[in-house]
Amino acid sequence: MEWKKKGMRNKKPYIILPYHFERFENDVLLVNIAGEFIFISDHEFDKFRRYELKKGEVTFLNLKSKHIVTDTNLALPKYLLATKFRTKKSFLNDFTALHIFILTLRCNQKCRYCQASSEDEANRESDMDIKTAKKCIDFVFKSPSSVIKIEFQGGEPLLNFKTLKFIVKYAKTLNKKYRKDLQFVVCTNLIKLTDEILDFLARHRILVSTSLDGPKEIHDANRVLRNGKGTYEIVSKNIKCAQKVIGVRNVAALMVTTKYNINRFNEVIDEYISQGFGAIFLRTLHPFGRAKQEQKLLGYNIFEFVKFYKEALNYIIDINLAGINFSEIYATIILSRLLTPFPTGFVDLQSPAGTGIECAVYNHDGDIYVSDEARMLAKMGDTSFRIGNVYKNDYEEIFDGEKLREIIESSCVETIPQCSECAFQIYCGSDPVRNYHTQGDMIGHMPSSEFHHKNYLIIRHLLDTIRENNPEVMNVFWSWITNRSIENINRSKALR
Amino acid sequence: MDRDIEIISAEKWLIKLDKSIYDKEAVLKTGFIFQDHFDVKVSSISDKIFGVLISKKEVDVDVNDIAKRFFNELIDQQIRLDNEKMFGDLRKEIVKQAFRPVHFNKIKNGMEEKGDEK
Repeated sequence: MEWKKKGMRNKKPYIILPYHFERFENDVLLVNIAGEFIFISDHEFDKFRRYELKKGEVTFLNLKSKHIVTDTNLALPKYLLATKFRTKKSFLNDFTALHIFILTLRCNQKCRYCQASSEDEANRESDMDIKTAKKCIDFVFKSPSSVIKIEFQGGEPLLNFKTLKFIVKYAKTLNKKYRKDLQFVVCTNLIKLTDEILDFLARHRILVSTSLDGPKEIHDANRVLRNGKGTYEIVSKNIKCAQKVIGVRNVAALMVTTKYNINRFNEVIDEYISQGFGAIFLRTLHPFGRAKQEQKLLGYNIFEFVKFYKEALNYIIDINLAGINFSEIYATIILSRLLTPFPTGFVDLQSPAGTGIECAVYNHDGDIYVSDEARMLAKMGDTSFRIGNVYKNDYEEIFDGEKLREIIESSCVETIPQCSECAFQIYCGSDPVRNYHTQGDMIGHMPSSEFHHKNYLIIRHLLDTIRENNPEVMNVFWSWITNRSIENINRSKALR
Repeated sequence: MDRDIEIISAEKWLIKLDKSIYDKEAVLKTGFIFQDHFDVKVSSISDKIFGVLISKKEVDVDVNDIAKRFFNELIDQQIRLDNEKMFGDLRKEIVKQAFRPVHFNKIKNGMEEKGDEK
């Protein structure tokens, strides 16, 4: 401590800039304000904190390159960190881009974990009519976002195909004036798919997101018609039809983890590959609707989920190393946040939360909710997250109102107890609706939060894997982030 | 003494912490993190000592292991608190600058940093 001995107590040899830290065995992870990170040993961490690092040594230079220390003028690292932080939070620039339309609550299926609490096929009262659809689209185009993604949900949205067609055509007409990047997605179980529908989807470049829980036995255990019959056969057939007509890359599928498939992720992954999908999203059950009622039958401990998730991730990495390009979507989102300067568009995990400001849900009756979970909560009798109605309120009242502001203010991880000191906060996020529903308030209680445990453990696992720095595994990660094959990644490296 | 453990019963023990080393905030934050598995009560035993009464909610818990984890977490929380005191204002300045309107002409002329130097 030369600087102390020489009576330089107030003149430290370097300035430490804001950082968060987390311990990993004998290493310490240091993360700067913009999410750039470095691992150093415990010993180096102590030296760093005591201002004992020598300016020429590698650790000091690495920390300097990550803007965790500086020995020059403070203005430059401050400016660079502010620019990088602004980039990391640039998802806030555009305001609401994702607009979910609940075209109907009717559904031809009665899945055991249905979060949307669907209604019988005959109940047409829950269909969105043309007048309401038009009013909702007029609201959508008031969003300042340059990207407008309209996602059709339900119930089963294809049961109200008439309104779906109207919305697509009307939005396209309006967009001649607004010139936004207009995209459409339909979330459908594909049961009602016809040639006419496929032709419309192809003509208007509407992406398809369907549901597939795994091989027949697993899929049919949960995803059944109203008469109890399994849907695997028809869904498989229609996935192939959709892939053929609108393109393999334009059809995606989502799965839900239940007791039936939690210890059979490898079979689920194999099924996805055999169906031609390039990715899987290993998702947990949401605590809403029937899924909540059936928790005892379908549910599991979140630590159990993380254990199987890690095993599945290793399995997927091995598949990639064997030459098949296949990714896990949640890991890809987190890895993009860890290894690139950019944010990712994932409204379920960001700070502030995407509720309302990134995503809005237009219910069949014109009510607007901050998220799909908020709408599910309303279906369970609690309308706390309904921010307005297209017939009763104007755009500014809804999207610049006190209610939305309060929700957003409660969702900044930078101010939430435990999250505010967490080294992973820049990669993570909050879900005020889920916190409110499961823990009684929008801020939540992290020590007992399943949402917290899941995200913390998975982010930590991915960081730990990066710390190991296996070049082959890192190539797999980069292939997921950049959506390129491993051969392509290797070719790029060889050219350097 | 910076810390001491007094085992009150098989389910309950008292950790005594030196106030000259640990801030109340660091002690509270550590207690908060342990809430899921324990009931935690923080009090001031004397002018110099904090008392942290920990009662376990689960049966199979090793007192020594928990104490070790508690002390390690407490040290990290104290470091985080010290860090925040040291550069909390700097963090606020960076965030403020990040969300400040950008004037492209100023950046071009190198004026963006004017007034930022310390």
